[in-house]
Amino acid sequence: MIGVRLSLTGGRESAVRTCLTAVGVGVATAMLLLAASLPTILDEVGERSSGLSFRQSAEYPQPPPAEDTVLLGSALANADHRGTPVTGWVIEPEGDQAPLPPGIADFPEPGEMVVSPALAERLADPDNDLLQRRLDHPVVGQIEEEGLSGPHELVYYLGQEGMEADGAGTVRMDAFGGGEPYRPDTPVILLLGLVGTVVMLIPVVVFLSAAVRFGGQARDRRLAAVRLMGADRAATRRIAAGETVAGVLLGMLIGAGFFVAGRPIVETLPIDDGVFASDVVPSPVLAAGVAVLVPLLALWVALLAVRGVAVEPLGVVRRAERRRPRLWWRLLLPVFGGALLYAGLGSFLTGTVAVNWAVLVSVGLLAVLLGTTAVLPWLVDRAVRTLPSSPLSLQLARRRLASGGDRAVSGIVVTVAGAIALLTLLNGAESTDREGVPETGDPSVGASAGEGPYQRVDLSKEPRVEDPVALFEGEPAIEEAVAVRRTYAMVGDNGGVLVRVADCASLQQLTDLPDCEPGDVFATPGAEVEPGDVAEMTGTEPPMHWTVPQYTELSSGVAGARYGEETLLATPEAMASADPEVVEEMTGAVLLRVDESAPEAREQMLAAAAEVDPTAGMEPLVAHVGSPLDTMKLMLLAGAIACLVMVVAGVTVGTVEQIQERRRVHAVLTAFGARRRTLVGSVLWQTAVPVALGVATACVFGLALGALLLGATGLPMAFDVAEIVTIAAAGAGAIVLATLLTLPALLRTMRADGLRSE
Amino acid sequence: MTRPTPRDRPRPEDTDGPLLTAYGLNKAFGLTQALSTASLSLGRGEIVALMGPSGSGKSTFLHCLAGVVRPDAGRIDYGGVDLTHAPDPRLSALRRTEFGFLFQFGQLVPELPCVENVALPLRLNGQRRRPAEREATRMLERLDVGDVARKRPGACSGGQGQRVAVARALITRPRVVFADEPTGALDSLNGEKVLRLLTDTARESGASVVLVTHEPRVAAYADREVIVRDGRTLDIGGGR
Repeated sequence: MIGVRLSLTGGRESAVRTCLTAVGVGVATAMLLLAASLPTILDEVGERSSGLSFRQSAEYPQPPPAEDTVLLGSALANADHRGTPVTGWVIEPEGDQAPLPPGIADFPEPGEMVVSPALAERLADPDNDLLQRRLDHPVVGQIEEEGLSGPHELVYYLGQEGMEADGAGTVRMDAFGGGEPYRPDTPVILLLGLVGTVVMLIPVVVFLSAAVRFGGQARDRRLAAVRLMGADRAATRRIAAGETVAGVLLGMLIGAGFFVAGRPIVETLPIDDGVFASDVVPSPVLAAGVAVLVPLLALWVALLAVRGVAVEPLGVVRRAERRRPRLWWRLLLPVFGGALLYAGLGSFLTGTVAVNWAVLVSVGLLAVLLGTTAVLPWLVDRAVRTLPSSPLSLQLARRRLASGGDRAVSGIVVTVAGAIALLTLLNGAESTDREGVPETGDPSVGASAGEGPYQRVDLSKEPRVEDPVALFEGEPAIEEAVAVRRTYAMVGDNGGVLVRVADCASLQQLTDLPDCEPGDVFATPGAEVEPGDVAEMTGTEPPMHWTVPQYTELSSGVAGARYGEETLLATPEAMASADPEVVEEMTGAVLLRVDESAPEAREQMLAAAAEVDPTAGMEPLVAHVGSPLDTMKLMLLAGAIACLVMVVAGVTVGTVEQIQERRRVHAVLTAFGARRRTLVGSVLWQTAVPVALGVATACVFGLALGALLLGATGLPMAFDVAEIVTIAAAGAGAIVLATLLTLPALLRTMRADGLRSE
Repeated sequence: MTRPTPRDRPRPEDTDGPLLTAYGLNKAFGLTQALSTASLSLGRGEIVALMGPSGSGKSTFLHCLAGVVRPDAGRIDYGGVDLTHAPDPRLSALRRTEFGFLFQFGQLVPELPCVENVALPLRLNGQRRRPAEREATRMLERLDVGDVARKRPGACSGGQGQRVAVARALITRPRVVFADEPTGALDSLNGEKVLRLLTDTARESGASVVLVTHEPRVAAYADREVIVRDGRTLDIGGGR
């Protein structure tokens, strides 16, 4: 109780110290509670994804039409709004008992819409006039949380009539939900998640231990006074623990407050579709773990700090002379960690799970990252021995430097090394991800996959307008529109060929044709099909067939077509040998050449497409829509910045405290005539030397760790120097910022009134 | 079950022999020999001044006598207990119950109000807060600093702070008070006041005092003077 009283009623300084500890512990607790919520978030997202499984697959065979069935079709598939995917559905209940999709209360009438809150917000924004034109339907309701994968998701249901189930674009459903919940199953994503969590939590723990040590020197003096009055070592430890307990318990309350207050902020984070605040609930087991581990860790740190010194009645003395740091054992930790990582990753990737791979990888990562900080004192020691004795500022800094690596710098080292390793792993994963992305011939169409320089809009059989081409060509950003019908055709064992059917004028737009007459067929180079082959057209039920007629071989392909997209270009008359309806059954499409440099080019295209046919389908975007890896990179950067902010806060408080402790020394030095710039320089040296060495060490260990992770997972080595330099510079900048923040306190210790207290 | 107060606990036998005896104490800090065969015998209720120039080893001698610093060689006997070999809990218990301390700068805990500083030794001894603070308040009033009871040490003048320190040193009714330059940071008027209070209160309660000083004016309050020079002791008697 004496300890608790000392921390709570010890006047302004004591209150400030306890508050700092409490706020520090609070921030760390809030971060840990957020991490403890990850399983719940994943569960909730998985649960909702189960309800939304109709988006990926439909029941087969389709149920017959009944009172309890609903027709659902895709609207403007693969559309987006300024890079954010927009998912649209047309919907028509077939009876009074038709099931409602998750999240909506009533079916919209034909021509009316129910939209997600995020989409409603965008539609209400006067700047989004092209989106309003695209979705020019009255909004009659909003989709609730259970019908969305996240708060940022842009979704709408558009009421429709006269729909017909075709098993592909439009499906019949008698129930929603019951699908398999989504679970991230990509090994690299799982690994990235685990590595990210461990890397981000280490600085939190470092910060927590720094927060517990706030006011350490004053506490040591207090304990010495108490020892003099007869407290034995056990009582001293109890008092030290009591002092910590008050700050930590207060901090945990503050942390719970921060967490509750911060939950709504989570909704605003630009992570994919976002996370609902209501999903951010700590897992009970992990929350209990945080509630137990935070005070235990804090007590352990406090008692360790007391054990590190001998609190004697006459003051505090270091237990032993500082020995010169040795390197060999400091390297053991990262080497041991590397071995564990390699073993863990091996069992993870081969599936030979003898021990929980996650435990091996987590412990391995911890060992490598903490080992990185263990090397720092050795490096600082070596550097101090080789540093010159002048200028005077450096000479003054040497003694403090010789006392070993700063814990705050350790926080920076862990953050930077971990972030570099993660970035390297992300880049490796990204480089394999990019391999599947087509190279287009025309850089202007880098935004979409598919038809060379064209972007394709697939139309339903009954578009709203007579002449879609004319409507598209009325848009300023659309340079050219070509109407075609298209489908893939399977030919024997040779695989497939893309068949495009259009009149000669349209075909001429797609490529250079020597001569074109109705009834002609052309083949691009590499099309493995012979005249007389029977091609089975895909996407028709029952399958329809076409006997390939004589064709003219072209010397060049359709501009920008991908490898594997060998094409037969046929005039409608050449399809005479096919089943009579084959051309009608083929997907109608308009190929658009869009001026990507025009403002809102894609928005214009989408608005026109919606006007032509609200159920049209777009080609999927490649560049506009971020991949999960981009999201992870964003999260990594956000996490690294959060960690660095915590470190800056810890360093600032710690350094101000040190300056306060040394105010007598500063006053004496000032009395002797030391210039301000000399003292400021000495503080900067004290920071600059360990930070420079720490960041360099972090780069080396981070790259080595990244290379190890890439090697063990079989990913290609991919280092992005610019990103590594950015992270390293951010780490170094964080410390410089913290030092600058402490300068006012330093300058105050050199004022005349500071001297008077001497 | 109530814990015994310091006054209830068994004390060294009330015999005619000395209360505290030290023989042939040696203490070195690195290459510096601070004490060399230093010896002292302290009688019951006796006030002894340790005199000597700066760096002579008098403070080290006092710390050794109080069991705060362990000598390298020699023996310190207090009530039959050899302090040189006593374990830390035993020494801590002695400091809580039998010894009191007074230093140049008070060594008060700045975070606690004066009354709680004075009550702290009692609380460390297991006494409850309210009775401990009542007793501390009485002691402060007796030493004429009752008005600063609720102030923190930083808000007191040097003289007031040192009187609070005297109160804290005497609150457990110790057998021996160890005072290291207790007036070193005070002007002569306040120094006189503090010394008079310390010695008068000690005499009233029958406590012995070991007083380190280099000022003959201070040493004049003692019954006996012991000179410490280069770590050696020379008993010259005298005093008041």
